[in-house]
Amino acid sequence: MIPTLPPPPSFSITPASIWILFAVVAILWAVMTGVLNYHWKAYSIGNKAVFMKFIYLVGSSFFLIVIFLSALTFSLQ
Amino acid sequence: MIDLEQNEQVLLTSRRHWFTLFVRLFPLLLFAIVPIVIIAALQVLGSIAENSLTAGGKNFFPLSGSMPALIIFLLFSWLLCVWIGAFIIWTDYYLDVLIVTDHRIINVEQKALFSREIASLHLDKIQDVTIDINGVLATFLIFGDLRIQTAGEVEEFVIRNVKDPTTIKNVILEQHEKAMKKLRVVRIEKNDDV
Repeated sequence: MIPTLPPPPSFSITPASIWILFAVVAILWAVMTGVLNYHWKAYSIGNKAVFMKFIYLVGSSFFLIVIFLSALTFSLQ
Repeated sequence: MIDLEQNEQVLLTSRRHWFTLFVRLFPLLLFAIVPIVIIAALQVLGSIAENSLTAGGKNFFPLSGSMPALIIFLLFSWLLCVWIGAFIIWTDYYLDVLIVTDHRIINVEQKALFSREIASLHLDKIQDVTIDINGVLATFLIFGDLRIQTAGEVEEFVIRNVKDPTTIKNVILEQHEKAMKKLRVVRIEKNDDV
């Protein structure tokens, strides 16, 4: 008799796992934004940091909004 | 912020050349592009597999149902991490600064996000200033290492990949001359008093 391998474990991405991942990303973003802002405020010499802070916030907000909307779309489908 | 001495004036502030920032940011650009290329390639290969096989042909990467939302979620999460990484590198670049005042040279080095070193050298302690512009890019883009030999505890003060090192060297030597002249005047006045 030919031995048969056990079936591979089934793996599916659930909306709950997506929202957990979203929470991890959001916390990472919040912590890193706090750290970067502290450095720009405490140690910056010159005024370029204000402009770069604006660019950082605009870019990261855009990414976060897209991530949130895609997580929402995934949950609703 | 740097605390300056009384009557101390900042004459020059300089950072590393932008090219050094570009060299550090370039791998992140690749990290950002690679997943987009992989997704596009998988989609193309999937559709080729679907079309080339007989009626039973199957696209192994179908962009239908909840798949697009999942891909966008993972891709943009990755891009956000790359974006944060890019700003960490920029912050490291921006906070490294060389300040030349009429009293001293201050070199601020942000070694990592939570590691910072500030070295200060009084102009009268300078013995020699040399610049080292090495390579084709450094020659054309005008950046290089600035080495300051000192009479202090730290024998050599090295500032790497600074932009326009010749101008900085000239400013430092000019201020060094002024500092030495002041020192000579003070010594003569003291001798006269004795």
